[in-house]
Order: sequence, then C-alpha cells, then structure tokens
Amino acid sequence: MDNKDNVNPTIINPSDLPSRRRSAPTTKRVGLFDSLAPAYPSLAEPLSSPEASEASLSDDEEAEEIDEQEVYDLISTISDPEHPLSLGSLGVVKLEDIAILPPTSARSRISTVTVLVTPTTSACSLTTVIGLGVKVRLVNALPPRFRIDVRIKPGTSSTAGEVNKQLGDKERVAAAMENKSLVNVVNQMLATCESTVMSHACPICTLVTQLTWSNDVSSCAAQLIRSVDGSEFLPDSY
Amino acid sequence: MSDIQLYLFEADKDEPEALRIAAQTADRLQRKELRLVALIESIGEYLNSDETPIRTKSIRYLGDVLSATPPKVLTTQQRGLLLDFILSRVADDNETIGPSARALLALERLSRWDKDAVGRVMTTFLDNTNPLKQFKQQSERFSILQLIDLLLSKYRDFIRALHESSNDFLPAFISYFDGEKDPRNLMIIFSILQVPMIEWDVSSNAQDLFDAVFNYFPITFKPPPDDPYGITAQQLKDRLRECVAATSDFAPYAFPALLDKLDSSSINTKRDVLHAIISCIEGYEARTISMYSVTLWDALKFEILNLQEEDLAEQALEVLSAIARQLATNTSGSLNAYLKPIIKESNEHIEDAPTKQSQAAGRILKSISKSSPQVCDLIIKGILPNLFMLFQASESIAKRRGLIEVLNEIVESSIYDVSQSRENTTNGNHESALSAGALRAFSGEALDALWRAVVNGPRSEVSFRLLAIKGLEQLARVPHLLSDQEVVRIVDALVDIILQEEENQADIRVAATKAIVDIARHYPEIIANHAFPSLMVRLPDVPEEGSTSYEVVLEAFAQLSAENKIFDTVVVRLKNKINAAVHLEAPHAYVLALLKALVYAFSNGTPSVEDEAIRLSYYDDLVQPLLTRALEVKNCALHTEMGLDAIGRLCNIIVQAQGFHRQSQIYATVQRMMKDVQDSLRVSDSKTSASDVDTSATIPLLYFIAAFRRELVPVADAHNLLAADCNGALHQQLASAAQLAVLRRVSLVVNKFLPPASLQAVLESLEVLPPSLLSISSLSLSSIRLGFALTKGLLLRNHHATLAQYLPAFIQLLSEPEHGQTVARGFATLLAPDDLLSKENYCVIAGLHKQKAFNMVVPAITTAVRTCEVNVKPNYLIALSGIIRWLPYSIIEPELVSLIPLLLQCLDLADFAYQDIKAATITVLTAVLMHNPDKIDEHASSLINRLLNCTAVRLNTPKVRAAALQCLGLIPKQLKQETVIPFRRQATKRLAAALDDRKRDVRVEAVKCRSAWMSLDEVEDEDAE
Repeated sequence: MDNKDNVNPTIINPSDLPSRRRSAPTTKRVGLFDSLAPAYPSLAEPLSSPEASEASLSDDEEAEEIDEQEVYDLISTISDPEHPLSLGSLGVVKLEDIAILPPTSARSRISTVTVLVTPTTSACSLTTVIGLGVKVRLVNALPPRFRIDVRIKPGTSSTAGEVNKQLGDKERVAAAMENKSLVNVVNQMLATCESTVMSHACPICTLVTQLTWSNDVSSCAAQLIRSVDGSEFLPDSY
Repeated sequence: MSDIQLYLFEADKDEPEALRIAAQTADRLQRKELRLVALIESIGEYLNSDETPIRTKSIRYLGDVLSATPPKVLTTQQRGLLLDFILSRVADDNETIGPSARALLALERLSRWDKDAVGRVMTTFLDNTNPLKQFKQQSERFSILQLIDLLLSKYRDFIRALHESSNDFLPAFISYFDGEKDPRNLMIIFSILQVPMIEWDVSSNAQDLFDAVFNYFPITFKPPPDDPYGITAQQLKDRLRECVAATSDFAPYAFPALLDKLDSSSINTKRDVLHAIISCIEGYEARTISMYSVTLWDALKFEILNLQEEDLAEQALEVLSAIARQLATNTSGSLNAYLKPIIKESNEHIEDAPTKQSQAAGRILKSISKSSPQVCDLIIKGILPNLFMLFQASESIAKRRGLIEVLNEIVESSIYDVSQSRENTTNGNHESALSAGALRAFSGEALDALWRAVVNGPRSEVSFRLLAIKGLEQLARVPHLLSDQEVVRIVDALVDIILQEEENQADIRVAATKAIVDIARHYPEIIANHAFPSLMVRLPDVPEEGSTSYEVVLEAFAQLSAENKIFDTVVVRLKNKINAAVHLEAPHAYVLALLKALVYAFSNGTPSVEDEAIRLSYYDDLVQPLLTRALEVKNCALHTEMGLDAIGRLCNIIVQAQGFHRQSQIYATVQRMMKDVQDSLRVSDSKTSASDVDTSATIPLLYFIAAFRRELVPVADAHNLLAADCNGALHQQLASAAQLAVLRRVSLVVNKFLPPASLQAVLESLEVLPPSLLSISSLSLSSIRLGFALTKGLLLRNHHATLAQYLPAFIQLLSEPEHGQTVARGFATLLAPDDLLSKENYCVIAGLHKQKAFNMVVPAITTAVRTCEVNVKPNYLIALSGIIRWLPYSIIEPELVSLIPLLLQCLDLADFAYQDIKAATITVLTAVLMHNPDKIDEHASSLINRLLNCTAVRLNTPKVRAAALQCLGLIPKQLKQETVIPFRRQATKRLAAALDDRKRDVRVEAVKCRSAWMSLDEVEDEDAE
C-alpha cells in the first residue's frame, strides 16, 4: 500500500465543516443582549393555565424532517480507524455526497439514504471497515423507515466494486458483524459519536453553580441584563 | 530478680512494662545506686547465650536504658566504653544488629560524637554488615538506615572526610544499600544517597551511584490497603527523580537510560520518563545539557509530531522548552546547535502544510520560543523567511491556512515573552525591544499577508479568515511592533467585517469583534478615533421601519465598553443616540435596543470607579436625566414598561454600589417618586382600571428599593410602602409588569427593611397574615400571589414565626379543588432565583433557608399525599416538584427513599398542563441517577417504563421528551447490569420510535440514548467470553 499521502491526509478544520447553524440562518438570531436567560417561574405568570401550554405545544410541534445535514451530523463524528480524526474532518464523508430519496410510491413509507464514502487514498485497505461503520451507525440511528445505502464514491477506490458488493449485501453485513474483532473496530470508530456530547454533569449541580454565579458582584450585574427585555417575567401580551 | 531478668521476662509480653523496667535501671544509674560496670556485667551473661532472642533482648535492654538515661549522667569515658562495647557487638553478632543500631542511636543522643567515633561507627557497619540486604527483617534494616541517615545529616563533614581519605569507601557505601525493596527503607536510602550525589566529587563512581537509584525506575509500587507507613508511589517517584537529577555527572547514564525507557509501551512509564527528564534539565548544568540537546530533540519530537497522548506531548514540549531556557544561559553556540535541527525539521514540515506535522511544528516552535526572547529571535529568523516564501509561492488556501497557523503560534509566543520580560525589567525594555526587533523585520510582510487573507479571502473559507483575524489581533498586541498607521489598517479591516459580513458568517464577525475589543486595550485612542466614527455612521438617529441592521453594530459598540479608557465615550454616544432617537420619534424597538446596549455596557463593561464605587456622575449626568424624561414624556419609547425596566436596571447598578452617604442623598431625591407611587397604589376602588392610575414609576422604584442599603430606609417608610404595595396587589387591576414590580417590592421590603421583631405585628396590622389573607372565603389569584411574595422574602431571611403560619396554610390549601392548583404552582416561585433578591442588593439571605424550606414543606406534603383525595393529588406533586427543583442535591439526598416514589408518580401526570412538572422531575431523577444510582435500582422497572412513556410524541412536549431520553440514556451506565439487561430489548424497540421524533433535538437525544442501550449487549457478550 502506498502509505505516503495516507499518513498525511488533508484535514478539514472544524469551522469549515458544514453545519446546520451556518447553512440555515433562518431561525431567529440570538442577540448578545438576550444571552441565556433561565426562565424562572415568577409570580406574575398566571399560576395555572393549561390552555396556554397547549397552545404553545402546537407551535413547538412543527415537524422537522430528517435531512442530509442531520445524516451528515450522525456520521461525520465517526473516527477513522487509522487516524485519531473524524470522518468529517478527513473528508471521507461529505455533505454533498449524502442524498435522501423520498418513497418511490405513494403507498410506500420507505425512504432511502444514500451515502457515498471517499477513502483517504484510492488504495486504503480499511475502506470496507469505514463503509461498515457508516452503515452500522445509520442503521442504529435512523428510524426503520429508512433504507441505508452506503457506497464508495465512484473513482475513488481501486476496490470499489468489491466493497460495494459487500456493503450492499445484507447477509454479508450481518456476517461481518458476527466477527468479534471487526465489531470491536467498528465500536471503537463509533465510540466518538456520543462521548463528546454525552453530558456527565449532574443537572442539579450545574444549576446550583449557575445560581451561585450571582453571588459575585460583577456577574450579578451580568445577570441583570439577561432579562432586560423582560420576556421571562412578563406575559405574552406584553 | 535483677532488672535484666525482669526485663527479659516482660520484653515480649508487656512492652510498656519492659520500658518501665529499663527506665528504673536508668534511674538507678542516675542516682549512682548502680554502676555502669555492674550493669554491663549483669547483661554479659545473657549476651553469650546461644539463644538469639535472649541476646537480642539483652541489647534492646541496654538501648532502652540508654534512651531513658538523661545526658550528663554518663562520663565521656563511660560513653566511650559503651561505644566500644556496642561496636564490638556489631562486629561479632550480626543477629542482634537491629537493637545494636538502636542502642547506638540512643547513645548518640546523650552526647555529640567526635570525628573518630563517627568514622568507627560508619566503618564498623560497612565492614561487618555489608550488604544490608542480608538482614531479612525490614525493621532491622530500618534501624541501621536511621543510624546512617543520622550520621549523614549531623556529621556530614566527617563522612565526607572518610570518602576523601579512601577510594574504597564510596563503592562500599553504594553497594551497601543494594537490593532494598521496602518502600519505607527506600525513602531513606534515596535521601541518604542524595548527599554524596549533590555534595561529593563522585565522578569516578558516578555510574554505580546512578545505577543504585535508577535500578528502581520506573516505580510501579502500589501501597497495600492497610499500609501503616502511608508511603505513596508518588513520594517514591519524587525522591527517585530528585536523585536522578542530582548531579550533571549522571548525564552520560541518565539520558540514554531514560530515552531507552521512553520506548516503553506503558503510558505511565513514559510520563515518569518525561517528568524525570524535565527534572534533569532543570538540575544539570547547561554545559552538560548542550551535549545531549540534539539527542533529546531527536527522541522527543516523536511524542509531538506523532501525537499519541496529549499530556505526553505537553510534557515533551515542556522538556524542549526547558532545554532552550537552560541553553540560553550558556554560550550562544550551544543554543544555536540545539535550535538548528529543530528549525530545519520544522521548515520541512511547514513546506508540507497543512498537515498534522505542520501543526505540531507550530506548537513546538511556540513552546520553544516562549523560553526566552533570545530563543524567540532565533526561531523567528530561522522560520519566517521560509514561511513567507512558501506563502507567496502558493495560491492554495489550504496551504496558506496551514502557514498562518504556524505564524500565529510564533507571534503568540512573542506576545507572551514580551509581557514576561516587561515584568522582569523595571525600566527600559531592552529585551522586549530586541524581541519586537526580530519580528519587526517581518511585521510588514506578516501584516500584508494576514490583511489580504482577511479582506480578500473567499467568504466561504471560514477557518482561513478566522486564523487571519487572530493573527492580526496578535500582531497588534505585540508591543512596539506596529506603527499607529498599521494598527489603523487592522482596525479598519475588522470594522468592515463587523459592518459587512453576512449573517451566516457570524463566527467571523464574533472573532472580529473580539479582536477589536482586545486591540482597544492596547490602542484605545485608535479605536476611539477610527472604529467609533465608522460604527456610529451605521447607527442612524432614526432607522428605516423594520430594519434591524443596527443590531450587530450596536452589539460590537457595546462590547467596546470593556476597555475603561473608552467606556465613557461609548456610553455618552449611546446616550446622545437615545436622546436623538427619542426626539425624532424613532421606532420603539430601536430606542429599546440602545437602552439595552447601555445596560450591557454598565453591567459587562468597565466603568470608571471613584471611592471604590462606580462613579456617581454616571447617575447624575446620564441615568437620572433619562429617568426624568421617561417619567415625564408619555407616549415615548422610554415610557414603555421595557424602557422603564432598562432604566431601572441602570439605576440599580449605579446606586447599589454607592456608600451610605451618597445613597441617602439619592434616597432624598426619590421621595417624591415614592409618594406618587404609594398614592396611586392606595386607590382601592376596584373599579379603577389600570389605565386610570399612572403606575409607570412603580417599575423604576422597584430597582431603587432593591439598590438601597438595609439601614437606609426608615421602618416607618418601609411600613407605608408595604401597606401601599399590599393594597395595590390585592385591590387593583394592574398591568402585569407593574404588578410584578409591586410583588417583587413586597418581597424586598419584608426581607430587607423590617426588623425581625416587628414583622409579625406589621403583617398583622396590614391583614396579610394567613387567617385573613388566605381564608377560603376571600381567596383569589391576587391574594395567593401576595402570599407567596411575602413568603418568598421571609423565607430568604429564615423568619420562622411567620413562615410557620404561611407555609402550613399553603399546604392546607392544596386540598382545595378550586384554588389548590394555583397554590401548588406558587410553590415553584418560592425558591426560584430572583436577580433582585441578592446579597449585592443587601438582602438578608440565610445560609440554611433552602434546608428550612425543605424541612417545612416536603415532609408535610409526603405525609398529606398518602391520604388525600385522588382529584387533588396532582396539586401535592406539583408543589413538591416546585420546591425540590431548586434545592441542592445534598438536601434532597437523605430523603430519597420517601421521595423517589412520589417523583415517579409525577411522571404519571398525564395532563398537558403538567409538562413543566414532568421536565423538572426528570431533572431531579437524572441527578439521583448520577449520585445515588443504588437508590433507583429497586425502582428500575417503573422508572424505565415511565421514561419510555415520556418519549411519546403526542403526549409530551419536546423538552420533556428530550429530558426523558437523556435520563434514560444514563440508566444502562448507572444501574447494575443485571438490573437493566432484562429491559434492553423492550427499550431499544420503543426507542426506535423516538428516532423518528418530529423534533431534531429530540432525535439527537434518542440516538445517544439508544446507543447507550445497544452497547449493553456487547458488555454482556464480553462477559460471556
């Protein structure tokens, strides 16, 4: 295997990776002046009003469909088995190489997610494992109504045909996941998906630290501003 | 029986008694009843016994007697005799060595030894008991080591003379300690050996001496659980490291041996090696280090270039930096010889940029540069020409980004280095001038490259431009580097970004703003003269209808208030803008945004200080005119509730900080306002609607009342105010902002201004104690609110007498079908944080008030809930949740057994109105899972099922669903495997539905939660293997 360019793959800086925040600035901007304001219950709120919360619920429930960015977020954090880097930062998975196809007929509920994987080199021996990792991740993380199709991007791997066959074959994938050492490699790759986000801080303790925050004179002042627009103390009509 | 016979009899059975006997002998010696010769003779026969224990005990007896003998009892001659006697035992009888050593220690305490005695003791031991390891008992060796340690600490010169008089002494001394394994003894040996290492000329025996300690490297010792001596591995490591780093003579052995161990596969060994190398670099002479500097670089660079463990890389960087620091004190030749290969290799990596190696090269150059200005100069001269050549030669953004990354690291190290040297040199900046000098040759080029990257770089290249912005900021921060014109150029570019960047490049704008704020610290005039005009142009007097483009400008402008030198300019310009906008009737939103910016400046910025408080003139010149205008001019943006609220906050910030005297002046000026507010609130005709009474001043008044010191407001005034507020709260239809202001003022007044003794009487006279206020016949939303506002203020100060009336009354009302739920919801407000009820606002905040709330409410509820009617049960659960959601975990913890069943019932509250209760409950349950998973174990089944129910889309808000999934995701990790595995199949199946939740944030949690449950299986499998 030609190791040269595989040792030094191009690394994409985290701030250049596609993210929902940058691609869809449609949501209301959070200004500097309305920085985090914990909405504490106050006496002026109506002390009981089931109707109000029901009304706000329907607003909340505007459906957000699963889109390509969401699929990307699921798989870009997988680690490369060789480098301690994520597939996203290595450019192995790219937003533009993810496609979601709607159900083929009106009666079917089955959508298809297609992911094209770009190996770091055309001769990368671990291409199959990477493909397998992406597939396993999506099968576990997407609802069952999605069919997952992971392929090697045409022209990027010398073994694309073989690998695609392997990844497309349910039986073969199942057989691969029986292989202990392979399962371990895949688990290792997927370990970074959750560990970075899984919070291990106790919510109450965190809350308490936030509250004691206000004991400090300067930060007390800082807290004053948070509710300067009064939103959490004042009723909607205001 | 003689003393020795008694002693032998008791020695093994009763140690205190044996010691008493020895002391008795010593006493007789002192009183001359017993002669020393007789004592020795009496021991004599036992010393010849064939039985070792008897001989051992006899010597012990002698030692104990000597220990108990006061100095001066024995003559010089007698002590000499005893020394001869004991040393002869040492020479003749190895089996009694431990007691002999202890007897010598006792003898030494009686009087200082001379050179001859010390020499004899030392050589007797070396000649007759070498090696030490022949003695099997740890305690025997310990006694000998204590004796030798004593010799080396008290008679260091005599021992050194032994070494200098004979070449054979040191080898014997070193080998003497060979093979010791006991940690307590090793601690002493390391300390003994440090004496020759540091103080003697050991060059001919350096290797033996080094090996004697390095044989123990790395220390892998783990103290046994019941270790009586409490020696830790860390103590051994530290002492061993001190030995290795003790003398430059060790360098030829230490560096190869340490680097050899660096290849170990154990991370801990590598950590110890790097730590030891750092000690060596700091301990050895620069001349010695220079011989190994390149070898060390060649070995250590791999830890950074092929990063495995971040902490190893950091330690390796520390070593490289320490070497440079040491060599900088030596000849420039040695420093150059060290830096040359580093610069060469870094240049090679930089050519390949961007790679992990080029990033690592940047890190290396940065930490080495930081070691001294001289080093920094050499690095700059060695790297930057090549770097800029590559930069000019390449069009690739990726490549240029990689190069800027390295450049930033180097520039950053010169900022650090300059600030350091400024602290060190009081006048004249020789060193910093030197450092800036080396960078100065490249500053123009660096500025050009970075400026072009920021201004002309493609908009989509976020990281590239971010790095360039950081680079510009750093260049501006290197003192004496840039001319004012150059800084102006940077500031203009950054301001352009703030003004022009599109919304989806928020990262860039945030970075540019931060850079400007940083630069303001160093060049306040340039910011004031160049950034302000450009920004102010974008702040119109009247913006176009619907335009919000002023927001970002205003945010950047407000942040500049962080620098004190331009704070005043910022707030004056904002004030002028507000006046103009109000005058020209600009949209309310714009005026309010300007007010918010002003509040931000005062709360987050750096206003000037006078007599340890914010300067009062801000109030007189700025805030007070605004307040007057707000109250006088109706129909203007300032007169709105939000406008008054913002102005109130400004008053609070400034007034709060003033001393008593100034506060009392301000108090006098607000008398009129207080009276007006009270008059308007006293109108008790319930037909009067909100619009008829002008309550606008009630909001600013709240903030003044919050800001005043406790002793400032006379009780009578407070009483009147409370009376008016209670009346207003009960009998007037106030707009909700005014109503909230009144209620919060009630809490403040009962907390701050009424003395504890009069509280009961005052509240009674106002008829706001529970019997009248909370009687079922007159109960209303208003009376419940007022009740909670009063209770909140009283609870914070722990006023038991009144709390004992309010809280039980509220709990009683929970069973009321009509008002029960309103009351239940009120409980959540009691402990909810309120930014005005704070220590800074001089409130009385009792340390244990949360504990008190818990004790007065929770047991009563847990009891009542058992017997209550089904239809009011949710009320109790709501009240309970309202209290415990604000409590620190430690308060809840002791009551978990009774609370957990109730918490689980909270999750059953199906009605949509209870969503917030569910969310709060899940938070508490999550905390329990984190801290006391064992308490949950028996409830696993009901908890898992209820949480799964909470993930259902139609029945729960997204917040509840996400919280439930988070909590559920903890269960596989926190509970016992055998408890959770039975639920795995069910959980993963039902969680598949959550993967298709309508909300993205919920789906994210579902994925995490489900992976946690799926990973259970693997654990099971691994166990089976």
